[in-house]
Amino acid sequence: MSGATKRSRLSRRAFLASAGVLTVGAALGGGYAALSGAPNPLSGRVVNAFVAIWADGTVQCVCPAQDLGQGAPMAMTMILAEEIGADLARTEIIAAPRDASTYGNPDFAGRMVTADSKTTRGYYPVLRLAGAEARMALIATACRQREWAAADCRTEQHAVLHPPSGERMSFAEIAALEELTLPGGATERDLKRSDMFTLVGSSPADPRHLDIVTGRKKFGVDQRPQGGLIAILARSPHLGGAPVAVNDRAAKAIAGVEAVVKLDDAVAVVARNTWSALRGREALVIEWTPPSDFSDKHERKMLEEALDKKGAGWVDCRKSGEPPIEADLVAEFYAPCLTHLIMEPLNATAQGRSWGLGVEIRSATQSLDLDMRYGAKTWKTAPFMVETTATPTGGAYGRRVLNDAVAEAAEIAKQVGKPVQVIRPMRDELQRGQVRPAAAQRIAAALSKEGALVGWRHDIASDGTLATHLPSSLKGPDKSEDNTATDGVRHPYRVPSERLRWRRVRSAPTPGFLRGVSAGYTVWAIEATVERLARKAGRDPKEWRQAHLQDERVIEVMNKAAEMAGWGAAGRVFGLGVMQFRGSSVATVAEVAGAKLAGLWIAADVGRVVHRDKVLAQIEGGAVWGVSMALRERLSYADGRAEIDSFVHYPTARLADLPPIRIELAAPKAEDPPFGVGEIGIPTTVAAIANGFEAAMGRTFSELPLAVS
Amino acid sequence: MRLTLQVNGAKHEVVLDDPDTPLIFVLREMLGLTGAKFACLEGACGACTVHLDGAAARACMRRARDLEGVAITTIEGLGASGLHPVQKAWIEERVAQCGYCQAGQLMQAAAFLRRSPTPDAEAIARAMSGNLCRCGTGPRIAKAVARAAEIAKEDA
Repeated sequence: MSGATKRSRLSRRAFLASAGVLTVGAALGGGYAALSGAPNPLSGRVVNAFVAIWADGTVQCVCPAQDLGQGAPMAMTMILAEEIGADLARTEIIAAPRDASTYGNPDFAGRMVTADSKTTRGYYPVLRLAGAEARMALIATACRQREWAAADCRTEQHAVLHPPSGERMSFAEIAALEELTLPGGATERDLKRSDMFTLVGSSPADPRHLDIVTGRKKFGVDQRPQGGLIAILARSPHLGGAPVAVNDRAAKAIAGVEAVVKLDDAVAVVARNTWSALRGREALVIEWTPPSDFSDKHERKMLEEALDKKGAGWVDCRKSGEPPIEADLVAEFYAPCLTHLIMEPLNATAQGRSWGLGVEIRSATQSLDLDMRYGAKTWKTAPFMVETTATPTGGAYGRRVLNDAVAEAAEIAKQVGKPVQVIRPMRDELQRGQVRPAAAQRIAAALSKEGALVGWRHDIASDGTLATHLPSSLKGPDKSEDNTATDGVRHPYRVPSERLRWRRVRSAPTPGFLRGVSAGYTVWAIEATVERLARKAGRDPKEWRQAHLQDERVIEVMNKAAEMAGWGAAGRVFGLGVMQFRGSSVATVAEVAGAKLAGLWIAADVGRVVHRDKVLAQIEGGAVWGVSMALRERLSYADGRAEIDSFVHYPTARLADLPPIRIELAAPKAEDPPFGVGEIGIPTTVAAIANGFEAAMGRTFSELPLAVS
Repeated sequence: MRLTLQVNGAKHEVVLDDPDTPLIFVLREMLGLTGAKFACLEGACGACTVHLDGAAARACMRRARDLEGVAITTIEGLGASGLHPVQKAWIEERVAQCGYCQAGQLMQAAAFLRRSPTPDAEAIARAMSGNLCRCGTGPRIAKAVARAAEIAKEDA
């Protein structure tokens, strides 16, 4: 990252502070030494931090988000290309360097983290302004050359059009000129009206698909450093286990093994290839510290007892109408620990730089910023001495935000003095990796004589991922709410008296971010309670909801999903789940036929749709997760360790388990921004499936996965 | 140990430190064919699926030394003459998200369609259920396998 690059941009803070007259700030002159990857970066015309025009007219788009398979690089480019009037086929995507002041996500406190369904949503306004500014520069330059008036011009298909004369000037012709005229910062007034969009909202083909189906896409584990070694760690299968004594004679005798490195909680075998490292790890004889007696049964009891606690320790999320309620219905809900089951093993490469003062990290990651923190802390160096690069990831789902493999790679590379790639085998991650923490919930609800909701109490007890790892990111007036433990609790129903709160209960497995976070169970608890209340009041669950919902978008998607499914048809059994989450409004209807999940219908209002097909793919993928969480997934513990010695001990929904899934998107309202989509397929799907089985089997379920067979 | 493997139609001589080296690491780290992936390393997730004499096999569970004289095909060699019908169908149906499991999915699908050129939905689900896709592309995989069967007929 060169100083010149830095100088050429306005800081993100300045940009965000000037609400109303937002401006990206034109970069006058400077090139992108660090961004271009081209032999002569100055051959391009740099418009701002996100856009440069190359001599042949190619528009370079800087993508500040990581490629997790969700399609963010494509969506980012589409937003820029839309505003610029560029032809998508003549754009090129350049990965942004780690420079949070320029490329941080405004919705993520300015950090470079690709997570939380916030990427398209967070960068949309920034990229539109950056694109508009590039469009204005292209028009101004064409006007200078042809003596047109800017007000008469527009851009389309990679050219500036001048309708009065019927002439056009292509971006390539403009880029060939001596210099670009940069008319200064774009403001909101310069943005294209969204009813003029032609690219945003469509589904252009993604060239990455060809690389994937031919095996050419390179993930982290496909990229070994030159002369680099592979390290595989042996860790105790027991939570918190650490090595007491190590006999590494047999491991060191294995051909290809170069070193055995003892870490605080693990022993690493460093070898010239993966197979030697794996064999070396198997050959280690390690005495571990004794296991605890931790079990998920014990954890569950602890969580459920926490629900009875009074006084301090509760974090209020929403509260209204003080008096205690006389509950007509009290229900408890338990959700187990879950693991991410990422397919590409966690991996990170570290190698010393600048005579060992600095370190270069390359990893399949969701966050360059957090990789840097792991690197700097482990290498004991300053942040600017840590270079970070991201590779595409083979699945992320939140697991690669706290990408702890970086710390291991840095530690081992420092000790052996050579580039080292750490690869964490799946079994190790399943046994000792981060988990979506288990949670116990209790909901108490009161109805009026007419069956209207008059009181609601929702208590949650769980560990917290932010509270554990990033306490400075806690939310709320007194910085005590961990939204990874409370997401989804803010239900959309009208109720005069309510209290929603969370209590942290520290547990033994390491908490982590998992797609959907707590909404994967809070929405289930809310929606199961709502359907039970409706039945108790003798009313149709959809009608009951309609009477209590306030938000038009939620009502609209609920009715849409119901219509798609044929809600109310005689002889069919349905369950429903609705919510507002990550800004989107979502409803799922599940049909249960003969004790089997027979269909899923999802309607979602996600606001502005950027790449339509990728939005549908994200929601469909989320729905598959919903099926899996509702019916299959659970990570259990006994005697201080996860009861999992193999991938096959963690059942997930497979193709044969999936019912037909139909998804429809609501038309965006005028000037809607995009809302989050990455996680929204999960929560209402879990809820709808649970409700479908409750209706079909005439019983209630108090834990996930549902014991339906 | 020295052996000769026939991979994607070409002969390769490899020298193994360990005679038990699984095929997946020979492909990826000695022959530079990184298209086949590894994940569970116990033959259960399908990410490493390749063809041995045209049949789908888990490359993490097969010793390279047992495969002399066997025609080994990886994703890099699947569409030797242009894209294979499964590859075309995968692009058409926009199956992939992250793509890590997809080489294995494609190899599984191609071997399955060779045996069952006109499968019904249930047979497809059964044939593909041993390959995990954690992104949740399963519904699209099912569609793409059916579409690939059609493309194969059109191409024939």
